[in-house]
Amino acid sequence: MSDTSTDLLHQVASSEYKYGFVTNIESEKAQVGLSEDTVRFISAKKNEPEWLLEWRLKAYRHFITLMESDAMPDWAHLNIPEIDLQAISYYSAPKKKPEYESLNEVDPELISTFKRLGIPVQEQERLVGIVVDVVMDSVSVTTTFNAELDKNGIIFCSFGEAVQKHPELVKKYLGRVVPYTDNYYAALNSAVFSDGSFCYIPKGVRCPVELSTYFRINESGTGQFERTLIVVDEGSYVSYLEGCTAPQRDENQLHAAVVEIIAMDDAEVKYSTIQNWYPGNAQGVGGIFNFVTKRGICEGDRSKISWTQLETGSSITWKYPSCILKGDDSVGEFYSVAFTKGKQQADTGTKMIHIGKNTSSTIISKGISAGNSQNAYRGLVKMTPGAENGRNFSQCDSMLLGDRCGAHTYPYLEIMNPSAQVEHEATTSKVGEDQIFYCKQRGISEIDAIKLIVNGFCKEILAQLPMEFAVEARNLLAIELEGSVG
Amino acid sequence: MPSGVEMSMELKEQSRSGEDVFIERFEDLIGPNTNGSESEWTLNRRNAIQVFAQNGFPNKKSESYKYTPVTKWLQSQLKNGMHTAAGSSVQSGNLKNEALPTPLLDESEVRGEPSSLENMKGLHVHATNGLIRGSLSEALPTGLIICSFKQALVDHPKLLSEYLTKAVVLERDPFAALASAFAEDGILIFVPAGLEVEKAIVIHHDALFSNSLIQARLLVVAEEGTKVNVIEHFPFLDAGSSFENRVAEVFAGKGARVDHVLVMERNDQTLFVNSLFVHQDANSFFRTNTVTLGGGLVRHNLNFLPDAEECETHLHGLYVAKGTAHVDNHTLVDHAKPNCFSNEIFKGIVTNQAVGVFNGKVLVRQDAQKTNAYQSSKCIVLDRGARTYAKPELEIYADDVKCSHGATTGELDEDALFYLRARGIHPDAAKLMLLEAFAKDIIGLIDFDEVRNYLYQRLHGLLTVTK
Repeated sequence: MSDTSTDLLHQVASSEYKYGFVTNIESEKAQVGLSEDTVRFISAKKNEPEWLLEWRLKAYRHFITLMESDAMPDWAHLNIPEIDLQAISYYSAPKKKPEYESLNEVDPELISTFKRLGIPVQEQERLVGIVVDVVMDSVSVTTTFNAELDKNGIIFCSFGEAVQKHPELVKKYLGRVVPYTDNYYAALNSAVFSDGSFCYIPKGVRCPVELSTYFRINESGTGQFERTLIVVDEGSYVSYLEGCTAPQRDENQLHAAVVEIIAMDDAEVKYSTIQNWYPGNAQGVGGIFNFVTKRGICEGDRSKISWTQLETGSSITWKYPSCILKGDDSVGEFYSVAFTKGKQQADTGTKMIHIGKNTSSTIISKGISAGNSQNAYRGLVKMTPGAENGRNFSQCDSMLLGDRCGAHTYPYLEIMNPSAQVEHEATTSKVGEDQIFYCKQRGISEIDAIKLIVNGFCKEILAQLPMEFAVEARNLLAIELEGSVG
Repeated sequence: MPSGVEMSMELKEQSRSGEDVFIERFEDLIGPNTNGSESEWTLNRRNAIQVFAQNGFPNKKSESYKYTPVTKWLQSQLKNGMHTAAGSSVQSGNLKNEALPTPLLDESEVRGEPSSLENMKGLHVHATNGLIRGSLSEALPTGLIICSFKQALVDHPKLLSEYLTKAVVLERDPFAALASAFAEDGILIFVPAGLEVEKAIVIHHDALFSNSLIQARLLVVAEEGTKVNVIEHFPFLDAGSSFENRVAEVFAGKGARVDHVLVMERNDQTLFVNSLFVHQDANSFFRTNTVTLGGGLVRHNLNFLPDAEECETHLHGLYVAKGTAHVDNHTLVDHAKPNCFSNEIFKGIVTNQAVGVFNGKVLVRQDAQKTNAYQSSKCIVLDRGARTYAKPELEIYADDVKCSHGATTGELDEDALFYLRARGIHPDAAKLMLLEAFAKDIIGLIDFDEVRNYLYQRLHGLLTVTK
């Protein structure tokens, strides 16, 4: 099979990015460059209270010390070109801040953008019942289904709006899970974050719809610094979806987001992501740098946080959605598919920090590498001395679709409690020749066979995604594969 | 703020002084470079100290020593004054005045009780501070060479220049560089092409100078089509707090079969660093079984380079860490060529306040297609306070490979304990039975009855006290 399948692999690897286009919406930018003034400008622009500006400034000063001591993280298996932070514009917002009563009033350009992305907002709203809080660059444009959410006392709005309307909640939880001192990019985000989403589910409420935000980077030369804060009170449940595709661009763009989740007693949060930022062209030019800090804390007993991600985009991905299992009997889950092709690099994984008693965590990670890409899993499982009867199961499988790519596994297991039980296993292999032969014998073309096999390889993860997302994910994976297998 | 700065300066000063002590001492030892007239070996040693000077001891940021605070340990030893070959107290400040690589014979030598391994059928070599002591027990088969490096320099100079330091990757570990620089002598085992050495070569490292720093070397060259077994025993010695830093190089020629066993049982004040570098030629077979039953801080750096096709590499390891011991197994299998096979199995039992670390890396380079590499690490933690760290890594750049690793950590299986207790077996006995069974999976892989039996007996003793 070698020749044809190699051709096939090359074809997929060389497919063009499907979602590359720029929407012409006027936008207002902050002055290029990072300084205390930039931070003040953003804060003033957003009409923020004094305490938030102080917090931003503290973060900014901390970031400056990090920058001066050259503390950019370099431990990942990534080759990161130098990023000129002074060449980035830290704020960009659509000029006409629209306040719509209905979707009909939304800029038709925007609607057509989403149509081309295959995300018809109205149809989703009507047929599926998902609330889409559209983030176009940095300011939220639309929020739908507010009435339904209001009825349940659920707060779901842009971060900026939350600061205005619910400052006490934001003040209480901001930086609780990811303090501004956490890491280099989290510090940067804390100083200059433009907007994001805020979600609060009150006690005993099961959020009736899946909350969803689509992020898009739309302005050439703007970094995007989103901040998401999700607080789920006792006995509540929410499923949060985040998906992104970005227009084609020749300039590297930095994306340093922060996501914080807090789950109280008996609360459950399901966070699903499809990440499809522009990965750069075949020569590896352009593409997004996706340096994200995502972390959730199971604050209360019997709480649960589940991360599911499908990573197919970005030229560089540096992302470790983590769970701090503080409450007794709390549960953390991480399901991930990372697909890299071309010159993409991904170093992604999770951290499961067991603190409470009888906590358990599951990690299932599938990496698929094609072209000249490098795909690494890096994960930490830590059982602190108090993590009585902690349980962890990790499985990391890698598949290689070419002989010029790399698949790496770097698990860290730190166990300080004898009653804890930790299991880790990992495998690396290629698509079996016999499997392809079997399919071809039955009249299935080689590309379809590879799609079938890769789909089967990722099935466990995709099954974790909410229904509509799973369909989208499967299509996305199929499109990506066509590009890199042929 | 100023006090913080001062403190970090002080810390820096301290850590630098640790390295400077060694570098200055090296200069005293070797003297200035006498342009061009130096032997190849001396030049190699100079190169090694340069590499050490560049890299220094591992610090907090060194990923490969992430879980093993060896520098901290070393500094406290230096401060308390180790390296006192003649009993006088030496601190890091005036360390250079004392003998770093200790003189060959001295009255403060501590010798261990003969172990039952002395009685096994084999070619027995006794070593003091890692160097051959006395003469060999019997005549060697024709062509087989077992001698000191110094002897080899006279009798077989070509051998040393062909092989010595050729397998060591100095940049990979500062301790390997340090030992390569300081070791003034070592043990050479040379097996000429076609010779199958029937008896095992047993090296008894059964004598040390107390409270000393020992840097020694071992070189094993097994030429094409040979077969050789090397067993190394580092028995318990009441020699105070010694620091044994040794480098071993093994060359397995075409079709050679080299089998290595290392049993380490030093006292709980010993810092033991063992750097093994194995170079394999086509169709060769290499196996090592590294058993750690003692020591205070033990670090095994096991590096394998199957540098031609159809090589087979087996790494087996067992460690029992008690008290406050810290045992770290750090392995790297560097698959550079296609069609090779490697299998790595490590097991550990960690009790009391001890720490067990396993860091295994399988690297498959781009051209190493059809590589099969397996790795497994299992660890049993018995007590609160004991800790384990595992970092099993795969780094793969070739697509047509089969690689897997697995790592588990946990306490003893409740069901198995219950099963035994339901049959009237005392909990302590049941526990012992399960632990011994766990350990026997590794020891059972050793070919020699005498070694296996010795280890079973030692394990029984160790684990019984553990409860």
